[in-house]
Amino acid sequence: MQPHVELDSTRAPLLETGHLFWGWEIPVYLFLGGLVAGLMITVSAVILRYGKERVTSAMRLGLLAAPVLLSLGMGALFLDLTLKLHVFRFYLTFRPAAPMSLGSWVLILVYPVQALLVLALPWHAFASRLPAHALLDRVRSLAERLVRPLAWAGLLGGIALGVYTGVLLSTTVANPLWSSSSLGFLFLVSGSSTGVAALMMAERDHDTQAMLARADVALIVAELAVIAAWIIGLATQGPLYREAVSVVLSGSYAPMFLGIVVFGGLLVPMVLEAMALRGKAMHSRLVPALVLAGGLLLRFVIVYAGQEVRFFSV
Amino acid sequence: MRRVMVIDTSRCVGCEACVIACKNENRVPEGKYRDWVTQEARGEFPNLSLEIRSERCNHCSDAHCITNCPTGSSWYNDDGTVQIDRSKCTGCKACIASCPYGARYVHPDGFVDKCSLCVHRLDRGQPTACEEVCPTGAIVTGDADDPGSEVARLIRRGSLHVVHPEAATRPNVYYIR
Amino acid sequence: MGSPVPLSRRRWLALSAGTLAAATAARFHPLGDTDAHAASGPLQDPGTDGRLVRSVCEVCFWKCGIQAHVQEGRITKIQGNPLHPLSNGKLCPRGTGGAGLAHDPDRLVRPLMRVGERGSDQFKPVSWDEALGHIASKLDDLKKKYGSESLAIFNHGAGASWFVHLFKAFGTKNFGAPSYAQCRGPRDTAFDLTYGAEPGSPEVLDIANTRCLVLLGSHLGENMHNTQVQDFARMVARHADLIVVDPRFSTAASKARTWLPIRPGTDTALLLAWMHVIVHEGRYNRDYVEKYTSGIDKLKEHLTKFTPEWAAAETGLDAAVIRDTARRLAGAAPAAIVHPGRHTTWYGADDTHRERAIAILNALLGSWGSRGGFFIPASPKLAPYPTPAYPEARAAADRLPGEAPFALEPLSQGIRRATIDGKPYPIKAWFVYGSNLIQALPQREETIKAIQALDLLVVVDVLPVEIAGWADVVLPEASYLERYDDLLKLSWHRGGVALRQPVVAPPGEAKPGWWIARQLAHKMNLGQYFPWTDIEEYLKDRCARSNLDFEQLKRDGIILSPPKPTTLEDGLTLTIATESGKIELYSEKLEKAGFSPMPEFRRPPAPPPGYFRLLYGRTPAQTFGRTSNNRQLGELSHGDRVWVNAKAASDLGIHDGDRVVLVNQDGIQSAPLRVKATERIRSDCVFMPHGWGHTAKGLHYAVGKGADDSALIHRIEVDPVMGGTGMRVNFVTLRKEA
Repeated sequence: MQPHVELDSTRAPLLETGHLFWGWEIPVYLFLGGLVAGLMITVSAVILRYGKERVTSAMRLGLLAAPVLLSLGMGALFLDLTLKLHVFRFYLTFRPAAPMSLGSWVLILVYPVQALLVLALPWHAFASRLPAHALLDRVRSLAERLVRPLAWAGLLGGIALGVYTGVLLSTTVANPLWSSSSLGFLFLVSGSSTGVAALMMAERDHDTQAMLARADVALIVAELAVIAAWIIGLATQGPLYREAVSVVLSGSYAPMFLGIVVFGGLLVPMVLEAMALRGKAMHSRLVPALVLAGGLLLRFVIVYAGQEVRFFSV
Repeated sequence: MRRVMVIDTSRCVGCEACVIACKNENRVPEGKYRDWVTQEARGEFPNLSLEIRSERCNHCSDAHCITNCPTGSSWYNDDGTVQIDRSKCTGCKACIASCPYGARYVHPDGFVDKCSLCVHRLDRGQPTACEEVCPTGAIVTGDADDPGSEVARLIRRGSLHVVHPEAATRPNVYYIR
Repeated sequence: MGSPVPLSRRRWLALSAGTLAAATAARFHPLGDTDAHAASGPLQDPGTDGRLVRSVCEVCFWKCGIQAHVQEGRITKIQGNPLHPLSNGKLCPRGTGGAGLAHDPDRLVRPLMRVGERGSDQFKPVSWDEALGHIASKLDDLKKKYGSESLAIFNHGAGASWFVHLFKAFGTKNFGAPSYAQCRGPRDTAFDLTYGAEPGSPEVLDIANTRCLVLLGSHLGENMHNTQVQDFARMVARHADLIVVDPRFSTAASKARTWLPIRPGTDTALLLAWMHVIVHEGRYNRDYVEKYTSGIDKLKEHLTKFTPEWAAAETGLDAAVIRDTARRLAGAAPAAIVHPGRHTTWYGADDTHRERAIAILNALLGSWGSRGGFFIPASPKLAPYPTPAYPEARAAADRLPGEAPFALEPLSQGIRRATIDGKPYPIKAWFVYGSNLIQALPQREETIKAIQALDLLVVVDVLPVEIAGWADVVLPEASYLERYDDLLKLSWHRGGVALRQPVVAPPGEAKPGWWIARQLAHKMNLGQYFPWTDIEEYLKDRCARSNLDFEQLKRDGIILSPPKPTTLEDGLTLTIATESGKIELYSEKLEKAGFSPMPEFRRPPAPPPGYFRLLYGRTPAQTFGRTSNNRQLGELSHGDRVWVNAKAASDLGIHDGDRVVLVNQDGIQSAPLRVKATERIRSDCVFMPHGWGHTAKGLHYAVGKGADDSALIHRIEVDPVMGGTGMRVNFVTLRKEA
């Protein structure tokens, strides 16, 4: 119980209304980046575990969509910059201690990996649609031979892409809600889950649906566990952190967090998926849609609620 | 060289002359602050206490804003102060996210700005704008590594505290109660 | 397994990959750019230094020396003039933000003449010639019909000197500065009766060296009188004794060794009890009292009944604390100050008595003329500019015979009353300089009634404040940063002469007061009182007569006089300027006039149930209502909240930040304002800053911000001794707004 303090500040009006430094652009990017990370990890895992022949056309479509989705995400990041003309500065230096620097390089390095992975996969389905090109053929045959190393690159690149955003938030240190070592893992697991869900939306093969559903259930269970670890870990760190946590558990973001993200975006799909796997219900597009919506809103909650309580606001 | 600031809150009356002198000296845009005054009253009537602090960037020796800056725009001057190279700033706001003191703000021209400890004045042998104007003489800047300086003397005297020490960033603005 | 890549292509690939790698490595440090400690880098220089002009501030009356930096006709920043002993290179927030007045887009820039109904705020711009010609002709008519004494002037600020001179030449004595009867009047009269001298502007308090300072209601620190706060800080740093008597835990109270949260309106009782302890326990400064005062025996007898126990019941304070603080005060003598205050028109009935008690108490300590007490200021020698003598003029109309016999200046509200009812003689014209009478005088419906009875109302100001909206003629003045004023005398630890000179050009057709007065004088056939052609000629002449180097004055902003002793410790010979030559603890003058010769306590009525006493005061970044429109100062804490005791508020279902309307005992409502629910105030009163709640639409930045305390000050209690209007006699209740 803290002693009552009457706080006055020159910037009181600013603290009340102007405390947000990151807006919608960031959760949108986090969602798209996480989804792309999930796509890369899933497809790469399938290649490594079952071989490239196991890759379905839905997965290939996902891999084709990956650079497009990632570009949209990077577009959102670009919109967030207040000095856009200087964006090239990210790429004149490499500062590994700064997650944002690390991330900006990962973001561009995953593009060639995605492109090469697409080229490495069997082309029978749409080979006829693409014009014949000598260089393209050469690159494709190189990629086909390097498909396993490329899948490793895709897996590691996807993991890096999925993890660094959580690390970025947690290394800001100044935002109690984000000050958890669980955050990187949470974004990785959640991103993987949204990637799997996106694939489930496009997947027509029944067996693959089931495989994806099993993976998704496991990921959601993991995600719930990490969320619990995150919340409990913070709640035990002190009054400032408890106040930050209360914003999502009992404050203005509680309905969205508990109702839509946890319940609607994690618990309900998990149960429905488990039931479908046992044959008690049909696999439907509703489940992955809920997972995707929940994933997007989870990021909105984390980014916005995280800016509500800061060291200097108490 | 380690330039620090020591502020005697017992003298400070919270008049905010420091806020406006800084705004004029450093062309701080309307609605933004490089420094500000915080007042904390504690207790129950009639047993009350009041601490008044003029606050600004603490030029932390362990500044997360510098570590987390992706372009090297935030950097350490050789006097230990944290400075911003506007030509490298993209406005990504990782530094704003990293500051436990809320010391930074986005300038209308797009870059992020904050207290520079008036190094342009200190290097000329002048006091900082806030130090100069302060009618109570509450603000003192100087080189903590110079044993003959006023700030070194105050640091030796002890009983200094910093704002939000739990942030563990080794701030270089010290307060006397 | 695909076909092998031709050797040449493989080599090409390897070479290009290698080149890329090499180029990359060359660009970056092997571990990436981790070295954040650059040997050198770009440091920002905002480049706000400019052409330096030294002058004198006028955001408040203190008149600190300033130096302004100018770039391309605009002020970039204002600092304290290091050569001026009132600023010592330092400045309060208001002076620092002075450019916000010079560059205020709402400035008056053209002379205006009324076209609609009085008060309808409808004006047409006219030429200076037309405006001043109209005024001259009207005044001429009024002189013929009612006599020159029918003109009254309400002024505030150093720039008024030209108009005071002009209208004395015209032949009137009706100069009603609200700063007397609405502000410092009780203490000036009380000190005049006791010492034959006033505490001064600035107050001659040697706070820097005092061993014990008592503040009664003075909220130093929120009241930002530069030098006084500089001295206060030095005193606090020395851990000198500080006793603060205030119903509110002000900034000053937070630094006090003892805070006495006194019941409002009972300070005189506390002072009497302190004197009782000091006199009856023999702790007064015997040598000093014997040498310099008269009436100690009568005082001792008078004080007998004012025991600490008696005072404890009146004030709500603890009797033992009253005794202890009295003893501490006496122990610090003569380096002890009971601060005389400045705005002292509080409760009316005993304001002069309260200030007399303060004056007497200081005498018992021997602080008058002592180091760490009241110093006797050194004044400069300054020769006047020779002009003809003023004509005889009728005595001011502010009082009826026998009324407020000890007023030292005409009473503003008295002139207002004479304007309404024509007694003792009619007042038909008002010339208002730099004083927003609508907010400065209580009972504004009376002010408006008086205005409606006038034949002519002229307002000279820099901004379209409320009073300007009622005028017949509005004259735009150059602000203090845009004009020369008459030479400024500094009476302080050292005397000096300071120069106010233009820093930037005035906007539009705004003109300095000297120009307006001189032009008007010539139109009024009083040109002989302004025999010089331009201001520099006048100033150079005065400087020459006073052995001052005008060029040095322009460069330095001030020329100090040779030092001379200001305290007994310095070797001063202390003479008391009363008729008796003694500090009058017992005032025969008061007795002869039928008043109590020694201070009496009058208990003010308590607030009715459900009401709080309305207290008002200062915030550091504002000077009454003059600075509300200053956009630079608007960046600082507005302070436009009403302080309410947290428990009292919550009993009414009101919490911190809630919007409320204050309703006074006569049903007058304030604009909504937000509540500061705090432990820092007693539960029988509320506190709000003075000067907000502007209604003048021309003040685009200020209008609608906060609430106007002066509109709530409908009831006044007039001090019978000197006519001051006690204004802390209103009660308010709170009504929560959505």
